[in-house]
Amino acid sequence: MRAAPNVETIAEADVLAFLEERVGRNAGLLVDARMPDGRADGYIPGSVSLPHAAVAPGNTHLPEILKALGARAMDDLYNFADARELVVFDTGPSTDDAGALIANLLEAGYPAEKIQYYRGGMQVWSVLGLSIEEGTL
Amino acid sequence: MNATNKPKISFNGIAPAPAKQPDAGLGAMPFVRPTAPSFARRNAMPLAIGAICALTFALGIVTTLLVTRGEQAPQVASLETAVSASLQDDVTRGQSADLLAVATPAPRAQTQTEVLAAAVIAGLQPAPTIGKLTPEEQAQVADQAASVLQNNNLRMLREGVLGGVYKVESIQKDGKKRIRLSTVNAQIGQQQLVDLLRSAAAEGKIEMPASLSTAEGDLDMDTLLFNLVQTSLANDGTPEGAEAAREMSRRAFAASQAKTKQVAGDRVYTVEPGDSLAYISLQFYGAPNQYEKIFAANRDILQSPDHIRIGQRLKIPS
Repeated sequence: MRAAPNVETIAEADVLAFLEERVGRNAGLLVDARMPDGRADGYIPGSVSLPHAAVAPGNTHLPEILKALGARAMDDLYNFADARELVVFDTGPSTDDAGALIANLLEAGYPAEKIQYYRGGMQVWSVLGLSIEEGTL
Repeated sequence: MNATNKPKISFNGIAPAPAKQPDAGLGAMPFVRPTAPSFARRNAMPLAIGAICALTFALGIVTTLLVTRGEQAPQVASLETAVSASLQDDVTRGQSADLLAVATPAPRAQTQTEVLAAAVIAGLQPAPTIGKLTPEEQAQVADQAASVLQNNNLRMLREGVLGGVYKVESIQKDGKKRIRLSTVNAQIGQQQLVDLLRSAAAEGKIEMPASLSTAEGDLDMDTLLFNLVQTSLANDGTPEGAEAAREMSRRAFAASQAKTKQVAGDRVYTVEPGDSLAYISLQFYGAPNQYEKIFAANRDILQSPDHIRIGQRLKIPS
């Protein structure tokens, strides 16, 4: 199941490899699409919080967020050649925060080939006994 | 016992004497009773005077009240209106002050973020495409561009850009992707253009800026062509020309596939084969003539704009 056309869906082993190979080298980000209250319940170690509403079209902070993700900006234009690879997750298969975040990123021009979707989310991650960082509100 | 009691009684001496009186004078009792009615009768005069005094006092108060009511009523009324007016004054003033106090911080906070956002965006924008050179130099560059573009094919290229029928595309060249200007209406080969430009340079019509020297020491013809067309458009004095030059920048910026690395907060680009400083500027700022920004940021490792080497790591200011 895909979150969007050309956005690959990956499993836990891929997430672990991504954390080691991409996030560790500052080339990728493991992105938590949940709103802060969801993240407060705990999250995958090494992930960053990027609530899907923060990149909604028209959000005034969108340019800064895109820049933080590595995009180059000129006027209202963005160049994503430097943009980091993202793996997006949320609570799990039953929720669609990740889908919303991916849709918003694609809307902003983020290239689909730089986004991957970890569908299992926190639910499958915890069921498999993988480590979870405790959240704080 | 009685002896001790007696002195007590006698000690109370005064008491035994009246105690005997009731026993002694049962006949005196009726005499005492008539004294009660006689008290009112005897005091009738003071009582009447007291009553009159009280009545007079009460009447005086009532009269005073009745008399002064006429005067007090308007006074009270005016006092009431004054008080209520002052209250209203206070209230409205208080309210408006409160409203102001509450209303101002919110817009201020907003404007602050907007100002911040504007500052951030302004910081992100490259300096205006035109204006690095002095007016004379700029006119000279524009004249050069215009004179070169007198050539039919190049003029068609310029017209094509002005008309919007062109592409700033990323093409595969020597195993590397490069941005290049190409038009639909100018049916001329790239080599032909390069020859034209070379001959123009040889005839002294245009200078070959140092920024167009590639890392291998060649001249970066693609970027030269882009720069000529953009410069000529930006300086033709028409809004359409300026807009077309801006649009060229936007397309080049969007087409750029140059990658950088973050090193200590700076964007760092590694010079690749075929790069000139102007071409690097084109990739990051959408205009070849912004190379001075990169040159200025890398003065510590660059002696002049044509002295770039493959593999050199250049800071790219935003």
